[in-house]
Amino acid sequence: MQVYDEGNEVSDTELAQRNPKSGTSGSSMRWAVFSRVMAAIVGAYVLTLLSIAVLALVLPMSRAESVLLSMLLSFLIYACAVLWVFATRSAWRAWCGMLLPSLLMAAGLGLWWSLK
Amino acid sequence: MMKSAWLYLAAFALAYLGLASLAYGMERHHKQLTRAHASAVLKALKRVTPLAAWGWLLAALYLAISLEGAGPGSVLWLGNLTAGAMLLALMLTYAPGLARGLAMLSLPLILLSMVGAYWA
Amino acid sequence: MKDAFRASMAWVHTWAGLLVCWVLLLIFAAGTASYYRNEITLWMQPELHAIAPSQDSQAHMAERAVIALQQRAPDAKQWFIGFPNERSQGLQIFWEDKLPPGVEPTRERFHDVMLNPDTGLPLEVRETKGGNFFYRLHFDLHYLPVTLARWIVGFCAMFMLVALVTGVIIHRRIFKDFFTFRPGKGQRSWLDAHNITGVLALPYHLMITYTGLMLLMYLYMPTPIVVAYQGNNQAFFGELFREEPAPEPSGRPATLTSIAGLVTEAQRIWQGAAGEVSVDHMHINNPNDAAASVSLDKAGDNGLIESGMSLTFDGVSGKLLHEVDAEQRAVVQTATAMRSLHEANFAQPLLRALFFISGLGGCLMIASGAVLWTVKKRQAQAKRLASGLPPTWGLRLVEALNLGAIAGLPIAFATFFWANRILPVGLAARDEWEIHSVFIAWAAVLLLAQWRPGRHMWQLMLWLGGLMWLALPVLNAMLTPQSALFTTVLHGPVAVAGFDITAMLLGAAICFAAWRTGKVRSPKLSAQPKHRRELAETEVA
Repeated sequence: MQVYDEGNEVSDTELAQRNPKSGTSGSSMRWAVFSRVMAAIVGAYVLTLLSIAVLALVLPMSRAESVLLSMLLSFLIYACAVLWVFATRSAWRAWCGMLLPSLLMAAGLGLWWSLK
Repeated sequence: MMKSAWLYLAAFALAYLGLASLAYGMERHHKQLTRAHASAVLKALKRVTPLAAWGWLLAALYLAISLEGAGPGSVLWLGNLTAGAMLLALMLTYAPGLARGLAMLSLPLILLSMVGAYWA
Repeated sequence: MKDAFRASMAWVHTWAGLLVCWVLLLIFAAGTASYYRNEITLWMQPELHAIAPSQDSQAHMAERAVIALQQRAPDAKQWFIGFPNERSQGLQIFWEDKLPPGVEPTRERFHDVMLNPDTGLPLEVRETKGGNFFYRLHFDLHYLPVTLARWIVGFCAMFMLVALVTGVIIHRRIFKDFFTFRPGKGQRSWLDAHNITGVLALPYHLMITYTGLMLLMYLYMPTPIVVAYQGNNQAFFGELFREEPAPEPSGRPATLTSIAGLVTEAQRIWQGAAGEVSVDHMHINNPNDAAASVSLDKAGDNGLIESGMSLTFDGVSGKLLHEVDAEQRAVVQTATAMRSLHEANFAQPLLRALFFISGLGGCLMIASGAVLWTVKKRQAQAKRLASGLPPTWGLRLVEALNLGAIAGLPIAFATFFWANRILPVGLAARDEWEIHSVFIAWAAVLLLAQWRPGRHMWQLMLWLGGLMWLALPVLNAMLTPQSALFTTVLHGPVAVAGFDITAMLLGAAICFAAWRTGKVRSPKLSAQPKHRRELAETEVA
């Protein structure tokens, strides 16, 4: 006999309880969510922009092709970064994961720019 | 022109047959497709059809690619799968008899379209 | 841990989807309609329905087009000639005015005219944007500055991509529920509908979203061009497509070489084992100037990767200047294939129909997802609602927006076609008024929805939308009898008959939805013990 399970339904209250930030009060949770959303929209975008800039320079193809390929990959990178931001344990980690590699790549690009 | 029209029909019928065979092996849809007749033959058939399904689906892919070339052919195949699955899901819900009938019809239909394509 | 992951993905899915669903629905619906952009344009120009496809050679057509262009714009910056093909029977000419230096370029500098390919005379057609309205709407929206609109569309598309991926992650029973749709069970049914339209067309949804973002990636993801080309997009595209920059006009007048001769010459060069070749379109830069040049593009051969072959000739001497062969570079081929996948340029009519069906599936996925949210919220607020309190403002807002956007959409789109037949042919800015009427109708539905967002309003609006679509062929037959369905079915054009039939099918589907909405299901059904429901189901089956 077919048993109905609730499939992929998750109620909002359940979500609030299960949210990675569980155990904190309402307002700080709201901040954590807002912070993550910002990390996903802005942080991941900056990370993507910088990583495709680096890719465009290092890919072993003609200049036009490297630029094209890095732009083609950009949305994949962005989507993965967004998922990671929401999957990771805390908003704090999410920001670190976006900003640290971004800073590294920005530094690398700056160096390349000044050497050119 | 007429010839390829027959073959396009066959490509769709193959995809539909493959999907219906898959559904036939699934508990919920098996009942819809057999009117819950639980004979031993149907039970045995239920175990075989999902295996056969992959054969039909591959044949559908092969035919689509030979009609359209590798790129557009794969797209045609995926499109046939999407349209066939939507049709099947709707019929399973609202007219399971029709889903059953069309699945049984599709094999002769495929043969007929091959013959039709040969004659055209 | 795994549950926590799934829960956060479910949260992302819900909010990423809900926040942009109404704009996304508009984008999806407009994009789906754009698959039949040429056919829609033809339907909207009934004056052209009696014209038979031309049998004349492209060289003769080019000659007529050049005469027409010489009369209208002898000192344009560039001319464009688009040859008739299976999907468009007119000979299209197009030109861009030369602007004095320092003048800000606007859209006003572009002009286009449709010619009769056999006579070279302009076709007298009613002013309409036709299918191009949907095409533009799809990524430029309307009433908004183009760049802003494209950012909005890109933002929504990125949300869509994230919603798709998270949707796959949180769907526990993709294969088990592959064909499952259980109507009349409230929330369960909406989830089924959302899943089935999402999963069955998933390859299409992922493809269309990713390639859609790709089409405007130079806008959204500019950094590679910044670091490699100092932000010069033109330099990048020039290098990518191996184009020579168009020469600047010299200012010295000169006589154009025979354009018809160049068409014949191009066909001779391209003539391989493939049989007949044709030109898709041609550009004439700096016509009647000593620095004139003519480039011709070969018509595609229905592959995923368009032929991409083009020839450039000197416009005065007729000497071959530059030849671009079929594309060999893998990355460029990939990008080209992604582009033609999105636009379905390569697709023959059957394949195009499958794209159209998948697009409709996408619209239904978005709409059912949006409704699902409100159904869940209503259940969560069941106690509050049972005690006679109104729903929270958030729920009411989303319910009203859903009603306005979802039930309003068919009404708005149908209004476009009604306006096309009803608005007087001589009306000033007639094409603009066709479009205004779309948004006036939609705004009216949105307002009505805000006023009374209930089941009755859903029913009313769905009936209205459904009947408007169903009646389109009738309207067509009454106001433009020569294009009536029974004529076009027998004598063509096929596209016009296809439009009428599609309109009736869509109308019937919407009426069915309206009828279902009217049959209020008792929510008690879902409270029955599970095995009883299962039994009931078997009995029905």
